[in-house]
Amino acid sequence: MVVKNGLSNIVGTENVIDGNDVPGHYSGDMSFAASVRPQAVVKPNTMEQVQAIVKWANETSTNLIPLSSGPPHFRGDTIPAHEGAVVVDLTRMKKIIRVDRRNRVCMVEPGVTFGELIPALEKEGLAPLITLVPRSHKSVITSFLEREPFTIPRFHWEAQDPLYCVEVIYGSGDMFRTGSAFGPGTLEEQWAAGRAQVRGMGPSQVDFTRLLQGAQGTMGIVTWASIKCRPLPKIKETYLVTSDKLETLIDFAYKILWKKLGEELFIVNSLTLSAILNQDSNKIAEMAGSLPPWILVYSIDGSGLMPQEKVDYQKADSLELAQSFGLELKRVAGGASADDVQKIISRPSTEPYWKLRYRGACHDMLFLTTMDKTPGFIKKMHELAGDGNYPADDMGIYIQPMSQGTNCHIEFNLMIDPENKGLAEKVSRIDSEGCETLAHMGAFFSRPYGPWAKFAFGPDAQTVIALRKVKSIFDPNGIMNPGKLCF
Amino acid sequence: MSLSREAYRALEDIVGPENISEEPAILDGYCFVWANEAMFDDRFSARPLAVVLPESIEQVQGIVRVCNRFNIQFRAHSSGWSCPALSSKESFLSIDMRRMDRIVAIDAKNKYAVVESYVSMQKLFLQTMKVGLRPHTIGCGPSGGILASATSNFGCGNTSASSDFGGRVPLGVEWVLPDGEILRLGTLGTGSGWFSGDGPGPSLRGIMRGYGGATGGLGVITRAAVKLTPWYGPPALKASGKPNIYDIEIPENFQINVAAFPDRDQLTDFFVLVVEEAIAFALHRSPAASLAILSTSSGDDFWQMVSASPPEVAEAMKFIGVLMMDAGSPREMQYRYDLLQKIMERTEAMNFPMGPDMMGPVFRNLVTGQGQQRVFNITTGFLTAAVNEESWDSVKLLGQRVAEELYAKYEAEGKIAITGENPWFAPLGDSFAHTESVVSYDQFDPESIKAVREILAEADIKLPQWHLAVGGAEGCLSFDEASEKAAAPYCLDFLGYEKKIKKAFDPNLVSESSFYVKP
Amino acid sequence: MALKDFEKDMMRDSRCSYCKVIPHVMMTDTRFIDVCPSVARFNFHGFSAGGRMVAGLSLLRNRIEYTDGFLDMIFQCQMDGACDVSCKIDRDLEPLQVMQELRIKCIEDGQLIAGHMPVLEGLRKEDNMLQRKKADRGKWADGLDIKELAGGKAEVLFHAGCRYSFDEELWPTVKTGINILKEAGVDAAIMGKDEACCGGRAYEMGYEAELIKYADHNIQAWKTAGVKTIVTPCSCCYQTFKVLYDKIGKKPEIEIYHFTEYLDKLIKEGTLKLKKKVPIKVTYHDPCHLGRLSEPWIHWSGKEIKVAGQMIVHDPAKKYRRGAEGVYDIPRDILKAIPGLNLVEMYRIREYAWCCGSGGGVKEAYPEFALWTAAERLKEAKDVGADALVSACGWCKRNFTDAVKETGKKIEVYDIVDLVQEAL
Repeated sequence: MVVKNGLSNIVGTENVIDGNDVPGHYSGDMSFAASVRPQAVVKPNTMEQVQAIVKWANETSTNLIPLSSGPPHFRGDTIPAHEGAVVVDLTRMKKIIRVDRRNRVCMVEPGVTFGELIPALEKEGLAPLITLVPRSHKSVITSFLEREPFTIPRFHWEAQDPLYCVEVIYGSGDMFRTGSAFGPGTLEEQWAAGRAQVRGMGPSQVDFTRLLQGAQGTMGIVTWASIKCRPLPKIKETYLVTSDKLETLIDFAYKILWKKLGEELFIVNSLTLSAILNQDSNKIAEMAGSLPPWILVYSIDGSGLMPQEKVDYQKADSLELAQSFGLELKRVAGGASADDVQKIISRPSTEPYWKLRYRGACHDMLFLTTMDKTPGFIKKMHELAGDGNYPADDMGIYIQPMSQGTNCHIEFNLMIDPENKGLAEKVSRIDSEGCETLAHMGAFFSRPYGPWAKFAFGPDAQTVIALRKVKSIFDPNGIMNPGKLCF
Repeated sequence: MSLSREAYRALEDIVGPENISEEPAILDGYCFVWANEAMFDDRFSARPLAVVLPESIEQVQGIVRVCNRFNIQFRAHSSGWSCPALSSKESFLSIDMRRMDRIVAIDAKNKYAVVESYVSMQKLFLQTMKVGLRPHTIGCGPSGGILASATSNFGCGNTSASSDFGGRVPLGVEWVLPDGEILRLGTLGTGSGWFSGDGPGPSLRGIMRGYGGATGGLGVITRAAVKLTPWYGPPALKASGKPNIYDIEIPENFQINVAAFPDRDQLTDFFVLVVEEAIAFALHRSPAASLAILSTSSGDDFWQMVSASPPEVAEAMKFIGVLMMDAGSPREMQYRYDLLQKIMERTEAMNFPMGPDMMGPVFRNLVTGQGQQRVFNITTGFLTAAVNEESWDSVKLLGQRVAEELYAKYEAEGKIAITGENPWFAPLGDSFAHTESVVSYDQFDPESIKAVREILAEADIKLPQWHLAVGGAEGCLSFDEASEKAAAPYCLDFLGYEKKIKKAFDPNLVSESSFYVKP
Repeated sequence: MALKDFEKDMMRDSRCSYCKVIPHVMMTDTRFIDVCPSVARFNFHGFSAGGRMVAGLSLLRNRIEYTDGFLDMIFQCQMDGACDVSCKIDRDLEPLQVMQELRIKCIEDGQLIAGHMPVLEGLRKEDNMLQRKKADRGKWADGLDIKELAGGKAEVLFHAGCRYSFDEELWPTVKTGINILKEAGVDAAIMGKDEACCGGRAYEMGYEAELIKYADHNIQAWKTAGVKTIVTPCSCCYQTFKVLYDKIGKKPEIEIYHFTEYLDKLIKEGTLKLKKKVPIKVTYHDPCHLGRLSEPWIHWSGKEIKVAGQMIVHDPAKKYRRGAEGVYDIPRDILKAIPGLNLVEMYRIREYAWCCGSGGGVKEAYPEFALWTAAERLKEAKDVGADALVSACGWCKRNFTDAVKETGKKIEVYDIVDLVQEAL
């Protein structure tokens, strides 16, 4: 009651849920994180409310778990590690504060989803950089705070993209604005001077935004962010490039990246593409069976002053490249239409979320590597699946070049029947043991959720020591999402 | 001030007697750098206690540990070109990274190179162009350290439109912290290689550097992987002829355009469009005189060319943009050319025709950065009183206000050089613009130096008042926190956090911080 | 000129480090981009031209005193001028002149280098740099049917130079030279024991008075003998006669030829025919004194003026020696004219060639550094696949030959004259 009163004073009673009223999705998710019920959920609507909550938490030694996306959650990062925590649910913070066409940037609050952002940007002639068919309730800010990959590597110059500046309430209760938003002047004064919060670096000699990325809410709570957008394509052509050999597609992808052609560029296996395109599990199986094992999805945007000419020349160049690898730029492959793919990858997922359509649940294993090493990891995952009696055919695979091809995200979607507890246990084992095996092979768990943290931080004490120093500066009382990462 | 004999011997044991010096004549080479006179009363700042030349991370670690043991301030540098590398009021141990100059690896497929601290831009480019790649360029020219620009200093140059800002290219990093521990960022820490510098979890790259680097105030970076960008030129630059204007063959798939605009607004619109269309290999705006500097063989020749130029030409060239496009195919070049015509039409641009005598030097400058040092010929010193990165409109406004409200008075009084319409600006990546308003002065003229000091002090106060920037490039070019302190009333407390970081990572305060922060 | 006259140059050094490497656009291989042996070997910035500019300023301002360390820093340098070329890619400075004046000041202030002392004593006593008897100077020509001037007259004078005159291993080269001249019908003479040092090397060591002395002596001797043309196989002598004498206001009214220039003339006239095949893969080493340092001197006197506020220009406009006008093509043309010979280029050539290591008094005072420098060049020659390294200067040949012995590198060292002889 004390908690509820304290929080109600800040956000109003209607925005606090406590005790048994707390819905189950705040206590557990699709990951293997142990279920722990928070003592309350608080739903602020302004930066000032968030700041008051954090100050209150420091005074009452209450742990806070920030959360911006709606359910279902998959990573365990929003599930309290300890009893007595309060979830700060930011889904009410839905303001799209600003869309700036000239600077190709928007400023949004954490509750804004891709589905909400897209039409707002479209009106101004912009489009977001979007993760691979995100779930409908996924927060745009969370996606990029967590360094989730988006599908256009050309715009992904480096790990921080597309996030620029953020406003954050640190665990200390202090408000700060990162990048060029720190000042001089208020936001309004900066806008009046023509500034647009498009420089994510800094301020000064520290990259404050970068310290929040990948933090799983352990440093503070972000209350808005400015995010890089891209011009809305006037025309667009998408192609499916298929092969039985992943290596061939990888070589082709490297070449496309070197030539800086096209926009969307990623590789999926047949199951993943099928799951994205189809709703029904039978249809998913059927199309997955008819598709070639590997599909590279490749789009060319026509935007700007000469959209058609851009598509034409890039298509011609891409065709030549494809031919040199013995590949084709297909509009239809194995029953999948490139136009359908194009529509679907430009929007959030319809319900149910595509990862859940085939078997009802899904557990992801994801890490960074380089594209040339992905075949080795895939081979190993198949071995791990075999050893763990998991049907490898139920595993979706997604390879996303990042940082303009300097590295890539690889994601294994282990689709499972939630009712099949035995299989879930097997996947859990694959997850924890496989992580170690993959880490030894060079997999970089840059976003170390749950058990992966052990292998991400285990080899390197100095990283842990350094991160704890950072943590003690921004969250001196350790109230922000304790029990995650190395904190 | 000098090192104790015990400390000297400890350092000597680490690097060997050939690689440590206390010889005053040698030490003076480590406290003499351009622009010192704008901060101190002399071209010389405080003479170092000694200079050491380590050749491995183990030696660097050993040196840093000795510094902690004997409470010796240290700062490392690579080429040592600018004040943040060498200058200080107090003596410190200068760590010259010159012996660590190996290109450790180039991963052509994944487009990155791993370099030690002293590898210069020119050395890395020479190697990467053989495999169709290039590093980011550095404003100070080809001899600048690639690692320093990426991890520790600033890091922008002519090609930033395509190769990004130095601060955004580091991947895995090997870093001797001020307490002597070795921190390995990203994949390097987990033994996964060099391909990422962010994570696991929050990215400690954010501690290593921000908008500017820590400029030696937070340990020593010994190796780093840097992202590379595609290079569509030949595997070697084809130069011939005689110095100092070598003839250089411009590859067919490169095209240089110099466009003149009626006003700042059209010029800015041109940049906005070119960046959005992503057609630039190199793009910048600078005074038209910069083209003359590049294509003449000396300061005198430059002046002859400029002074012979009719006033109407100078007026027409007041707002120019220099764009070089590259292309991966003839189709791409045709498309880019056609697109450029449209952009120029929209922005009422006039094409400025350049002969081969000008084209070659401009190409060389855009590709390699060579030519930047010539600015020292026409005056003898220069500084950038206003540096910032933000939207195009804000850098336009900053340049204009600085020229009109800061520099004009001093130009009228003849205390600084009239170098033409300021500022220099360029895109960094596809997101934002970078600007530098250059002030050129005479190092020998006390009045000129005094004017520069006044300008710097005024800039520190005015830029924040205009809500456009913090002086001293937000600290990394600011001596003893002068700019940060002046800006503090207008900004959130970034300085407070930096000081906490400094204290946490440098508990004995041995990493010399004249261009970083002091707790 | 004195060091003080270059104060502004020293002040204007921007510490860009251009002086340490060859110009970027001319670089081809990352292993061979260093251009300054001194800083490449000793690493501290003070061992570069930029560092010496700073030291010069420090000395003028009494920030430093003479010490052994300081003197080593100044004199462990071949004065090869490569730094000067690289600096002047972008800058209007005179680093080589600063280094020269710095050495002169050291000597004037009585700061002598131990290794140079016996050489200087020998020079003063015997008029040569090799500490040998003056009376033996003409011995190399014993048995050659060549006119020796002894109060007589000759239009063409073959000046062997100290190195060729006393280094017996090099005698075949000068003997060949004489034979070629004779075969071509050139009425040449030598001065024999009356030949004197050019004074150039002593000048590089900081002894300006010696240069003046030998300039006066030589010019007078040539005048007396009615010499109209001088041909010398020694690049150092060539540069001294052609450039340094001019620099100090004693330009001789005589045509100065390096032997390669004379050979080239004879070949191009058709007087000399290279017929025999010399099937060898060679690389050519540009001697510093034949290459960049032989660019004619440019005299300038005027003043600095300010324009456009604080821009500084010269009145009258100043021209700079940037290494463009050295003798680079002629030796290559000769080598290309030799049938069967395969000329491959190294990575650092012409005005940005790496030094052989022997100049500036280094061979005399710091022999290990001289050999190290030569060994670096041999590595480069081997790397381009050359079986032999060819130069056009006795000092280069001597130092390379020593380095071959020292390092055991399997590579031949030739003077270009040797190869011409084989082709005749």
